Amino acid sequence: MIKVCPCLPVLARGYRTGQLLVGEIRRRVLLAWSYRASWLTSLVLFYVGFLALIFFFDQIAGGYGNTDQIMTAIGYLTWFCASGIIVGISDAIVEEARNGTLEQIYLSPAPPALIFFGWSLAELLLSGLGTAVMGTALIFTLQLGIPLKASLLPLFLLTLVGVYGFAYLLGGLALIFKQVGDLPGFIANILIFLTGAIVPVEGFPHPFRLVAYALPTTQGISLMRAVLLEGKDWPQLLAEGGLPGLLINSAIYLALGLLAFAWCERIAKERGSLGHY
Amino acid sequence: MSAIEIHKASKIYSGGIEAVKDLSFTVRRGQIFGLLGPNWAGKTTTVKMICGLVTPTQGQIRVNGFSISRERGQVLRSLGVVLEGARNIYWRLSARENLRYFGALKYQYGPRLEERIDFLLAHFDLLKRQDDLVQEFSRGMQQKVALAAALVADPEILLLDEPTLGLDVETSRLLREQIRGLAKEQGKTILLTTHQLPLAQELCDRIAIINHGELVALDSVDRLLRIFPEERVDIEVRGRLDAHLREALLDSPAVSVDFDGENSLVTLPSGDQETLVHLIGILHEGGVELLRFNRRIPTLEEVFMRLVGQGESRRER
Repeated sequence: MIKVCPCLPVLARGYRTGQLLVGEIRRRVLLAWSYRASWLTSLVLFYVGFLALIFFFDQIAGGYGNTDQIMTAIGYLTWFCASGIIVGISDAIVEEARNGTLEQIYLSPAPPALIFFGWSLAELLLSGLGTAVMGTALIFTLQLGIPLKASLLPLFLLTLVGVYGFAYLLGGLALIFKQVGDLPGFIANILIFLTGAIVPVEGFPHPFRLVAYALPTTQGISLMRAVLLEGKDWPQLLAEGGLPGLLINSAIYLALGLLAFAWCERIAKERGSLGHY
Repeated sequence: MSAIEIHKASKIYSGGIEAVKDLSFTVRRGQIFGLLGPNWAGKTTTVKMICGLVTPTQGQIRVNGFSISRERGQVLRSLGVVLEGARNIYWRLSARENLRYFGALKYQYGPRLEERIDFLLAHFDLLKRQDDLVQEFSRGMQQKVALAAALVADPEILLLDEPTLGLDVETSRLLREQIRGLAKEQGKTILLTTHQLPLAQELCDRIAIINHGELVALDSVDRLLRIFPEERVDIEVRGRLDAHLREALLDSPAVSVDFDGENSLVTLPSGDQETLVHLIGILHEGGVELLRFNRRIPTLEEVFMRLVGQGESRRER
């Protein structure tokens, strides 16, 4: 009798799940490719927008130096990636509902959460690509000497965990109220001012600073600046409480987002409004 | 074990709208089962409850023996669904990419999936345009892609919500043949909703008629056609009958006379030989030209209209 390794079914399940995720990413990338012109246009707009911002600060502050530019670039690029994810997930849900394909996702035997995880990965890939392209363009245009460090990547990803939670919270609303329209975009745009993406929150008045720290990306941006500009390492961030703060913030947003999304899914199924637009 | 079992399912939407009331029926394996009803009868809600897109307010639904509320994954593994409308697929993807994606959603991948896609594209005559974007396809071709996508994981059971709605006559006929083939040649169980009654009469083995969410009738097509057993005889005569002749004809019980603008149709129950001979005598004496003489069995459409009409009368009372 041939003995079958007990790990085989687990491996098979893992492979099957991997294929599903690859399929999901492939579809999102193919659809995004069909909108490549508008994607490139928005990239150019945000790039020009950042240059205008730097020019504006330089004129006001008089001599906006390289360090200031790096500080703003970190915040701006993180916000750009985060807003892409926040708007991307809500927009995708609304667009799927408008196209009539949202219900098809719920007809898969795979848990919808897994499929939406595939969406998230695709969104990360697309937003990450946009951020990388724009970041490279900014580095060359402004001659920014950003000393890239490996420890930045985990901080960046940890920040995005909270962003995903926030995106799913808004995505859940989009499941019930398909006419959320520009709300996610509006919220994403407000975040640029409230999360210290441009001006560090350390300069905010006390009550605003508290609100800012509760928002997604604020703590992540602050920590990434500390690593890049102040040369802090992880043990220091841990000891000062910044890293645990980011961990807690991201975990809370993720848990809240997923719970809210599941709750909104249940409501949409009860109302029979999954396919409505 | 039945393919689909619905037991006392109800759905009340917010605002107190009762879309489905206490609905029970079973669909046997290999059958084409028609769910018929006028608009807003609750057909789509029923289909969506079967596949878990709408949560029933109460009742149980089992597919292949699995409960949709507790064993969603197992249920959806054996289901292929084409929902109403042309938007079940991605218009900005090609036919092949759509099938690849829907295959991945059903955990299909690799060479086996590609083989299945090749088979389906050939089966639905889409091979030549497999790489064209679906948005460039006709409505009929889009519906074929949607049906192929529902079949990509080779499910045992198919739910088709108004599959031929909006299709031209030729495409509708082709799709009908394909649906029949899926059941008769591939042994698939098919539940289809439609308000195109000739389609249901032609395709279905069993039919449930629902109205205002309630089951009005449930039987085989043959038996439904015998619910109102009185067959009728039509006598078609040329031109409009004069008032005197009409009166003479209408003196006989259960006789009706209609004029369609060109010819007149005299209808009577087929079992009444005496009246038939009497009416022919009247028409002959009146010098009317007899065009056609026909014994008519009620169509599913007539049965449907009467059943739904009875329900409406009861509701009004």
